[in-house]
Amino acid sequence: MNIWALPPLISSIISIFILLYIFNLDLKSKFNRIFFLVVIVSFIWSFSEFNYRVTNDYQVALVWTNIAKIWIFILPLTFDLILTFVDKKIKNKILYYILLYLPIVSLYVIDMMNLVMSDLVKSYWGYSYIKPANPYFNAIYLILVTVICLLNGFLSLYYALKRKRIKDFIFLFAIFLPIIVGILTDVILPIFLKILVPGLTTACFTITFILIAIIIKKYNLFMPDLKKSIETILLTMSDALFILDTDFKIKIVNKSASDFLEYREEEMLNKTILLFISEKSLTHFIRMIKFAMQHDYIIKDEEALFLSKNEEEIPVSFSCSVIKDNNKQIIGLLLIVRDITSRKKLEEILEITNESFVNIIEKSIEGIIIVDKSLSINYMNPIAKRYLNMLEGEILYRFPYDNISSYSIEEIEINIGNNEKGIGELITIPTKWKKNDAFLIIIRDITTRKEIEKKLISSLKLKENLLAEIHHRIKNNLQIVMTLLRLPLRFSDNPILKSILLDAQFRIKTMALIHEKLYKDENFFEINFKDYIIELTDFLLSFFQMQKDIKVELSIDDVNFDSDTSISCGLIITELFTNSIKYAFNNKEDEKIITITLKKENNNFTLIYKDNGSGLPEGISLENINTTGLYLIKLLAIEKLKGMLEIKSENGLEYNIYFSITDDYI
Amino acid sequence: MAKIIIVEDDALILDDLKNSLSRAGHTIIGSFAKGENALIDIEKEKPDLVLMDIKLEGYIDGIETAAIIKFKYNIPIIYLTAFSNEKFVERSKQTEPIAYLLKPFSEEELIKAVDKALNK
Repeated sequence: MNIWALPPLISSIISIFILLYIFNLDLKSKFNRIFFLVVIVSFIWSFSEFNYRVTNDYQVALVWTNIAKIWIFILPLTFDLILTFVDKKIKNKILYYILLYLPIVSLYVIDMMNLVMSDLVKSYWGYSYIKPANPYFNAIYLILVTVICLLNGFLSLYYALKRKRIKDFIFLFAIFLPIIVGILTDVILPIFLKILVPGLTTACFTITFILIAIIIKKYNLFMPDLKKSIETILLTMSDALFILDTDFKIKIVNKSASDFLEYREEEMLNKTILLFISEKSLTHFIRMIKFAMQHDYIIKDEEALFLSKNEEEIPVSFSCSVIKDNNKQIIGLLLIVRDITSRKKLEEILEITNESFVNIIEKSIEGIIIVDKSLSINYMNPIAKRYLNMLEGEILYRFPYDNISSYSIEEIEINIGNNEKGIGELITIPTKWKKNDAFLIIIRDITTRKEIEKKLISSLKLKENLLAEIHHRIKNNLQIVMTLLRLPLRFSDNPILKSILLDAQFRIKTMALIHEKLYKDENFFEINFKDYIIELTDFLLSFFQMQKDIKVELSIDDVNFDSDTSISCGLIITELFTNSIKYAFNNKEDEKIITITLKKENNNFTLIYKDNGSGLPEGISLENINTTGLYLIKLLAIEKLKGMLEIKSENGLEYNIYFSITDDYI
Repeated sequence: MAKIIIVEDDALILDDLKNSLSRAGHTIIGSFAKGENALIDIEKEKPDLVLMDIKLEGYIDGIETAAIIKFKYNIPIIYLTAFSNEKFVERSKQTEPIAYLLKPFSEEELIKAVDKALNK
């Protein structure tokens, strides 16, 4: 087979594929149609070229070459394609098509009459026309073809340069390629340079078509057909659509409309739309659509109640606009209706929720105010207005307290009614209001609470004063007791009586010191034991210091005891201390030391009293007690403190008292 | 020995004080239960020392009486009291007392405080 027959063969095959591709896209667009025609002409041309190149039969070649003469129609079709591609509007279409196609039809006729080329000649690429027939017709033919080709070329070049878009440049290249190759192989080379070459224009056109097809695909050039689109919209849109005539009769209705009103389409057609509207909203609906017709106005989002087939009222929102003919006469109405049942239910729920919420807020006994960052009031409930002493109907634009900050709590003066002032607690909490930063301010009437607090404080103060007074009186009475104890000494010189009364005075002083500490520290329930023992030993030392030179060493853990425990321990120490001073150091020449220790371990305590004196007199033990002092110590340690008493008499005397106390007093 | 005036509204305590101080060799030139009565006597007698209770029967308390005695006659004062809280101490401090004898006090404490006041 002649290899030069292959390019047109491939071109014709590719053309078929392109035709199928375009056919499947949409044949209703103008660009599509023109392009389709161009490709058909090109296919005939390339298929004919393949046949007359491949055949050895002169007659067959002659038939195919005549068929191929149709190629010339590619030129006006391409011109038309370019103008359609650039969306150039042609005002006088008849003149345009006459001017475009008349010269071409003339050339085609001349060519078919064999006035352009003479006879077929077989070359190495197959049959082709070589020699001109009539030189004048030939020249006219060539000049006109060249002019149209150049016109096409420059037109596409002009728009490409003007619009500077990639798709325009690709289109320019697609148009230019066959023009240049065609002029080169069919005009310049054979006529001016006398070089015969096989024509490659069909192959170049194939490249052109591929490029255009790519542009179509890539840039989605095929606009969908308007009518088809409208049909699709009507079918798929969720809103009900009615097209009414001027008497409001339904002329077109979509599926959604028949779905939501539960009528079949034919049941609705030619019926007045008013039949499908509830009486409750009929007047409003008629007024709206009449207004639209009278004023050529587009009604939007109006609400109405439609009636379904089973007489159920359906809340809808509708839009309405007029439809006009070419003479701008109103011929009907377009009515779009949206079922808003769900929205209405939601609105209803929201309204109920909102109503409940507002009800709670409005009836709250706490003042609630929303202020923005600049302290402008966005909302305040009635009680807040009363608290801030606003008159009925008065609007306060700015919150009257400047120094509010997040999570602050402060007390303010508020109006609690009848021009009576009270105390309010103002709490500020950061919040959001309509998506902006704001403060939620709560004002709480704490007048009563404050009054109770005041009474409580006053009552507490009174109790404190009473307790202080009681302690004062106790101390005063203890002074009287001491006075009474001293009275017998005025009338007696008995040393034993004097000693007994003196001991009694020490015991009273020990107890008085407890009251002194409870009263002085203003803590009426417990005292610091270490401080107490320091004061007690100071007193005892001070009393005896003229007689004895004694060193007292204290090692007492930091604990607080209730008054009972303190008195018990204090009396024990007083007894032991006076005993040590009276008896233990009588014959002692070296240093006299008294050590008092209190150790705390959890709730267990060890009180150790120690002196370096003469020790326990012979015949005296815990089991055999014959002194008041030791009897008192045993009584206090074992019975009062519920503890254990241990006496050691080595290098002096040592008393160990072990006792426990519940947490309440530690 | 010193001339002492005692201002104390409790008869028993007053008697005990008189007895203790007399035995210590001092002369009690006057004893009163009311501050205002004491002031009249002090004007006449000019004692060496005044022992002053805080709570008194009359219109003025011990501190008020002591204040007049201190600033009018500059006579040393020893307070005898069962009060010992800060409020009292702060108030009484302004009268610059020589000592406080906190009730109940022993005879020894009393004598020691008086001796200290007179020797100062």
